[in-house]
Amino acid sequence: MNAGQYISGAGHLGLIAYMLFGGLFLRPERPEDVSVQEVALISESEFAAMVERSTAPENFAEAPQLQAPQTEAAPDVSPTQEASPESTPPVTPPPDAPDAPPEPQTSVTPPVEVTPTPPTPQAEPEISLEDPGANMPDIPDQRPTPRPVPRISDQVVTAPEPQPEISEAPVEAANQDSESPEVVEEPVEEAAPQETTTEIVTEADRPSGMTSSPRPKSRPANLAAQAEAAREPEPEPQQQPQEQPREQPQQAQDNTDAVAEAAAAAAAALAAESATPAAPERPTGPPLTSGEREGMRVAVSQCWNVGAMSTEAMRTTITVGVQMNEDGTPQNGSIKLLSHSGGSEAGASAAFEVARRAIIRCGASGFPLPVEKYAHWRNIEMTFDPEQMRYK
Amino acid sequence: MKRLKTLGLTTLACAFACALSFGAAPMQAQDPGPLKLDITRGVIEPLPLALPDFIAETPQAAEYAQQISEVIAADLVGTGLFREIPSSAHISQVTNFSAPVSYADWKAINAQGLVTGAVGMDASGNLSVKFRVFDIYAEAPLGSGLQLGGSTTSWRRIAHKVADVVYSRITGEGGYFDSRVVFVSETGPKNDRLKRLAVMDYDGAGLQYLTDDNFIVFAPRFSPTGDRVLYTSYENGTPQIMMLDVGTVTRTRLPVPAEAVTFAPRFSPDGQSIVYSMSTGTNTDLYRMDIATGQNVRLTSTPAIETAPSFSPDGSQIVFESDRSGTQQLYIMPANGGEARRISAGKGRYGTPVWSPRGDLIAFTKQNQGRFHIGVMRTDGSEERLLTASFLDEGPSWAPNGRVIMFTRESQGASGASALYSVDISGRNLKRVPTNAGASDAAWSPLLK
Repeated sequence: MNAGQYISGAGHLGLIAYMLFGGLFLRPERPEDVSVQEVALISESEFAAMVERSTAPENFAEAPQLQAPQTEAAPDVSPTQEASPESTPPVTPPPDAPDAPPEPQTSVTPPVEVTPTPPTPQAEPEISLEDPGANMPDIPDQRPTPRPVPRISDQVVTAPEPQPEISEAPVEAANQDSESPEVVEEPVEEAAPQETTTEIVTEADRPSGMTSSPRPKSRPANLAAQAEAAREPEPEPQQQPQEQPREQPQQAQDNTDAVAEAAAAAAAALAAESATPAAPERPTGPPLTSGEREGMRVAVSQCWNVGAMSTEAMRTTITVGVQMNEDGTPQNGSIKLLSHSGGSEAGASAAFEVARRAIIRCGASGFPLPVEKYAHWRNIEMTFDPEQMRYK
Repeated sequence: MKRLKTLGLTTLACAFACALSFGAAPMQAQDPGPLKLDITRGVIEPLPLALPDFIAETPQAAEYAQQISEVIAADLVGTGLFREIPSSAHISQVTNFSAPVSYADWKAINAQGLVTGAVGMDASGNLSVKFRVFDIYAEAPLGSGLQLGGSTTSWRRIAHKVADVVYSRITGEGGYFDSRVVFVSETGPKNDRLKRLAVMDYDGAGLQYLTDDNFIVFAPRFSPTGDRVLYTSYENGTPQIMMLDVGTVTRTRLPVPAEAVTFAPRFSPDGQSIVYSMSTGTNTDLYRMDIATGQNVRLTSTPAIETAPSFSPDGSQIVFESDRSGTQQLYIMPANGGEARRISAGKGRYGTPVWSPRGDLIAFTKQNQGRFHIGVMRTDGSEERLLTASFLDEGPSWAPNGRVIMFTRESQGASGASALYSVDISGRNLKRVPTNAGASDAAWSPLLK
């Protein structure tokens, strides 16, 4: 008990101390780098001219059929450029040639003949020319996966593959030295028919909600063991995304250690205090409801036959103790007379025999008691008061 | 953001530690203690008993074994507290008195008690009856086994004694089966009844007449030991109290004034004295007589009619009826006389009070609104309960265990007859006591020795 209070006091003091002085011991975070983007100021006439020039063609809404690029026209791409491990899989392929201005219609094609020879552990996905969209590398964070289509039609229309951006204005060739070319995404207002499907998939067929709700775990049986387990180094760093900064795993590890140490200390204190096996084997659970108590009372009352009880016993109120098995049956040998009042010893003895008979007889098949609340009815004290059953 | 996350995790660690530390004590004291229930309502129904026939250990004892078993069953079932499970429903057959009891088989037929026994007969023709009582659900015998012995002529008494023990072990109170009843046997038409004293077993068996029908007799009372009977006889032309030795059937006149009218005698608990009523002129008072010396002491001295005295079991008090208040009511006074206090307070007239052998209740006859009742009340007059109601119920008498009351019920009309009835003090199990003729004025004996 004292150890628990000490731990609690230490914890509170630590919390207060942290709130007061925690800022002093924390390393100030490095301010994030400010990204600077240069913009050019243009006049109104220049803007109008630009808008006029970028007026969408009439067939803009229709996605042009991508022509397979001519292999002869495709320039060779240096393997060194593609094999760079730092390069992020591009959405917008690099231009065909560093120097030549790209053709608007053909410049969107992905690069051809990518030599898949990167020496890095993470192999680059192969890109096939026959079906460029099928073998596109999986980029999880680039675009969300289309949700199931609720629209029903007589033919299936698959969702169009992400279309590369078509730039009307000539764009300068990207600097090949840049580590990660900036991805420009703009919403496409009209590009293809909406996704449809040929069958109705209802909620009953494919529930979208949770099929099972998580339950809070019961109290661990061995807090000390879990605390020891928490001390072990976590095997997570390999699963951590590489792009996460290294400081966070280390910080998380530190915090985990703090929690584990606190849990271990508290568990040790608990183990030291609870040396006696007084704690119940299973969680106590909530107490019995009035309905459950009434059910038990009625079950015993049905077998409490006072018809053959002596007059003296009918004047005696007795309290009987009984230990119960987990299946709701009484331990017959444990039934004992705890106390009596209002009558003689002989009357109490006779009343006890009747009460014991009632408990055994109606408890033979188990009383209707919830097993999850066994700790609450492991021991039962029943007071048999025949006042209302007397001759009147 | 990062700082906030650090703060959250640290706080979580502290909270977890605090929760563990503070949770230690409640978890250690988590035992919620026993579940406490109050059982105040039960059921009142006969207790099912298995009473297989007693085993005859010799061929000569077979007849007695059968008859003893029947009497035991009749005694127990006749109380209204027990119900016999038919032998056809028995799963286990008791063929050996010493064989272990198969409790499961008896539980299967819901038997809550089991009585097994065996009857033997020795070379001289004496019976020996041994028996055991079992509590089926406790899976244990109720007390140790007993063995009784006697001549073949006393087989009924043996059976009654066995039933008394069984009754006592199951209910916790004494039995009343091995007892006798003295009463007035009545024959003839209502306006010309012939009356004589008779005695029988409590169940009507073993009837014997104590007097002839030449004189009117009434109000017989057993002595505390059951060997004598006090009664009132018109043998001398006026009602006078007499004492009769049951063993020798010899009667004795008590030393009372010859010209006085004496009636309603009753023994004191020690059997050394009697209390009775004596009328002189229009006044009737209570007197107490020492049997050995014949000395009489006047207990009451009022102009009212005071009669039907009955001692308390300890002999310290007397309950009686008196109309000193204008109507018949019940009063209690010290056994040696003195101030009497009224205990009856209800409407109607109260008479013939009898103190219970257990001392807790007083039985009485009550007349109210043209109906007669047998009732009981506590000795202070509280908790009055009427057990019966009819055209004419009167003369209650207590069974030795104070659990049953026998009384006289007379039917209405010119052809009406008197009969004896018994009722449990709970008001249940009202039944007629078998007699070969009309009967009245029953008095229950103590348990026979």
